[in-house]
Amino acid sequence: MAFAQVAIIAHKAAPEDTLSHAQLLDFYSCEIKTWRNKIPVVVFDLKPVSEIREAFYKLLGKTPSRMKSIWLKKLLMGESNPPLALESEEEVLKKVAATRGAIGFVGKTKVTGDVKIIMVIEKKEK
Amino acid sequence: MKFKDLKLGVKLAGGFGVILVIMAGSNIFSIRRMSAIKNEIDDVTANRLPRALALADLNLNTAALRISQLQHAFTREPAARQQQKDIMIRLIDRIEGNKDAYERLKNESTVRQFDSAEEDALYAAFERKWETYQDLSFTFFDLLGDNATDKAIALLNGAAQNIFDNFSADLTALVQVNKRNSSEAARRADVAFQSARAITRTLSAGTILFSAFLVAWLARFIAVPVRQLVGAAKGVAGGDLNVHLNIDSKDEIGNLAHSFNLMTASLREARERMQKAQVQLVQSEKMASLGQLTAGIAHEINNPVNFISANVNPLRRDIAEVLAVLAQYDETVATQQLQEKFNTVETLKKNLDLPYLKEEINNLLDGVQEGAQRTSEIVKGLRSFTRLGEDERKPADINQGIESALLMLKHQLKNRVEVIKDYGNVPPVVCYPGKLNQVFLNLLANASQAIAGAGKIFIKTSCDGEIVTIAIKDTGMGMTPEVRKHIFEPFFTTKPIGEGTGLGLPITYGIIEAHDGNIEVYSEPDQGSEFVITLPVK
Repeated sequence: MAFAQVAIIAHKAAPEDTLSHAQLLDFYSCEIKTWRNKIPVVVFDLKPVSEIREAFYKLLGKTPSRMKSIWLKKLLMGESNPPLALESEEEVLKKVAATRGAIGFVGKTKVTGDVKIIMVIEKKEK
Repeated sequence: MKFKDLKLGVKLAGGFGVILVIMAGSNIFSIRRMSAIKNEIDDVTANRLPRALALADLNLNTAALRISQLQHAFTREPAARQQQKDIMIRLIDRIEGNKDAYERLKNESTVRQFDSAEEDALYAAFERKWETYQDLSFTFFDLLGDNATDKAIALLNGAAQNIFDNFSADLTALVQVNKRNSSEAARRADVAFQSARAITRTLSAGTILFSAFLVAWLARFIAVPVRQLVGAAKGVAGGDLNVHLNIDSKDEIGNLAHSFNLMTASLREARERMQKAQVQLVQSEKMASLGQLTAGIAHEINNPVNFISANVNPLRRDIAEVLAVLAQYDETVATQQLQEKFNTVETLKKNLDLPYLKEEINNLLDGVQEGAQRTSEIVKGLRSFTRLGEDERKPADINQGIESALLMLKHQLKNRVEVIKDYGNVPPVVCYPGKLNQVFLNLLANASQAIAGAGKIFIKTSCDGEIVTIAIKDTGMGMTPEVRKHIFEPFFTTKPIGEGTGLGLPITYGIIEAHDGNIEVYSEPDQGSEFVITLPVK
């Protein structure tokens, strides 16, 4: 079928132009809390169940509920708050563009010049 | 190639091979069935039950998490709160552990026949609801952080409670599914085991039966011919050479039986030949000694008979002369009137009865002469019985010889005996033709005499190249075995005294022997007789 391409986007001022898979997982599971330039990482999640979301979590290698368990633990340990789950891709775009150190994911077609693409997943539909 | 033609070793190996294959086959079948059952049972114990346990534990841990969340909300003391947080962290680890265990076991399961869409759907539903519950938990902790404890508790007892009840029901259903599958697997394993056991039993019994049958069959193939051989060997040992084995297999026993048959046949033949040779030897010995004896007798008789024969005629002449003198005397007496003087003589003469005397003397002399003649005929016969080298050997036509003998017997056979001739293509035989003719005459005359009224004589001649066979058969009275034994002995006769000399067949025998031939007789009382002569052509 069609290729649902997912773009992992960051704030324009992000010091990295690309991220490895491991780094991405570390960012999302709040293991790494700051960028290279000490700016705190702000991770955004996408709330509605969609192809984009599914493809993203597949890339991470963990289901959303598994990720949420990690976030819950971090919250209880007082290490970090869970990422904010936004209601739409547009909102994600807007928040990432507006927040320093932000990172999020949207459909590649939605990406605007306000953010920086640091990774693209070409999800092959089954 | 038929089974019975195989070697014994191959037969045995084949038979036991079949048994072995069947046993091995049934064992492999049982083992495969059993191992399939074992797999199912292993899957139940090592996978299904732990899976159900993981799910049940997951259910308990999520419940414990909710209780811990409530207690966390109710307590205000930082230490107690921290304690609840620690408990919650451990519970989340456990929940993740339960999920890991369940997912790993589900992937590892080797028996797939119980996998159902129902289980997958239930677990997916649980995951979705559990995610929702996690989202609610974030909200709950947000509310607590904002000191909105009441709202937080309301959330836990409201929406979270609902969702919890919902996924708890899913988990319970999942446990049920796995429990059901486990007992179904156990039931199936039991059924499979029962049927495998039944099949194994049947196969074992079948194998035993088949083996017994095969062994009996092989035994029949091997033991029965051996028993026949033993019986036959015993028969031969006991002197019965007429045994014949009907074993036509191509194995060792068949070969042995074949050799055995050849052996008994050659033994039988050798024994018959020996018996025949023995009879012939006895016969020729008897004939040889009889020949010597009769030659001696003939010589001894011949001398005195010669005296008699030689003396009879002179004696007859002498007596005639005496009688002539007497007659002259009679005339003289009548003419010279010397009646007185010779009356006395006349009286004596009358007493003497001269005519009678003359007749008697003649009769006596006739008798002497007749006796002498007959004696000399006997002697002649005896001579021809003992001595043969009188005429020369030359090629002669056997069929013609028989024809000439028949010609001589024509008046005897005429209108009474039918002669049926079957002359073969017989080459000229180097022989004493006169002697052979005498043989044919003898035999045909005997045949004719053996036929009391009307009857038939069959004559058959043939030649196989080197040997000429002449068979003369009659429909006459035949003879008893006792008579048959003696017919070739001189002076043995069944005819009334004076009719047969008892020399015909001994002479015949001697002639045939002198030709290096053979004469055999086949006869039964009232069945006629057959004389078969074989002569070499030379």
